[in-house]
Amino acid sequence: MVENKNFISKAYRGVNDFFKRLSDNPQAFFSLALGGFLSCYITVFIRKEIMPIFSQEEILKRFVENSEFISIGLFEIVVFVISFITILIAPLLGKKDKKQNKKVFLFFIIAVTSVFFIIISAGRQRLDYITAILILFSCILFISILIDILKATYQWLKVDKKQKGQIDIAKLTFIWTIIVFIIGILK
Amino acid sequence: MTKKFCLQLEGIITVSTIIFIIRLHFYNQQLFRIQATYDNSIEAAFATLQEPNIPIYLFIGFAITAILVYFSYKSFILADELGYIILINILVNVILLIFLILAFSNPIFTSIATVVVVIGGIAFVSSNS
Repeated sequence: MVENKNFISKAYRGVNDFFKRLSDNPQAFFSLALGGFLSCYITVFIRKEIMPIFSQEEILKRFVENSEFISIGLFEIVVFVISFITILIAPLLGKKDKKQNKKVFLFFIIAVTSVFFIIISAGRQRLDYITAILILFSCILFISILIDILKATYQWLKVDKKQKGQIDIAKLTFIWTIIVFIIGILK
Repeated sequence: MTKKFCLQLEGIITVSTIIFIIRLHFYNQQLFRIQATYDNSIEAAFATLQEPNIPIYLFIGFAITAILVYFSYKSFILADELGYIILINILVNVILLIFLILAFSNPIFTSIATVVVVIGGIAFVSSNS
């Protein structure tokens, strides 16, 4: 009985701590919301743009009959299976000392799996719930990692790490150059 | 993590993996019956992928693979602290992993590999022309 009570109080304290930590940092809510919006756009994009390419079965059959290089043997399948399992396993065995490293590894695993499921759903001509949920989680982690990068960049910009204000002009110019470069690529 | 807890976790993982492998085996029989109606292997692969339950099986299979590998890695690291009997986890996990991959490989992974290669080839050809 005593153990049971102890366990319940421990669990309660753990849940309470979790919610306190969640309400302290708005990063989790921001990444949840922005990742949800982003995943909505991505799923709509997949349904409207990527799936119709592979929808006409006539085109598929014609390509399969005409093209000579699509001939799949046992070798390709074995290589495919081994390489896929390896790419899934590789990030699990890396060093995960920091919390952010863990997040990046998790993002890598979920992103690879979701790309794989997107290809499958293009072949199946319908988007499953599992694929949508995987895309949602990868978007949330992506936004969260972006916010981490933003925070780290802002810390790097400061002249004195402990005081407020005082931003290094040379570093700021460097970041402006990168932003202008990215905008130039996008235009 | 104590030694007892580690071994109990291994037992739970083993039982659930064996249940999943048996279910996958019976699902494979169903898929073989579908594939037997087609002559062309690529058509058979596309027809196999239309089955509604394939993504669920794939997802659970990936999750179990990841858990097996991660747990054997973890027990390899913890073996110094908790005693070398924990190394038996790795042996069990490797055997389970081999059986899981064997059960997955024939209808499901073969058809998925075919579809992925075909879709990649179509994208390649249509981008070049």
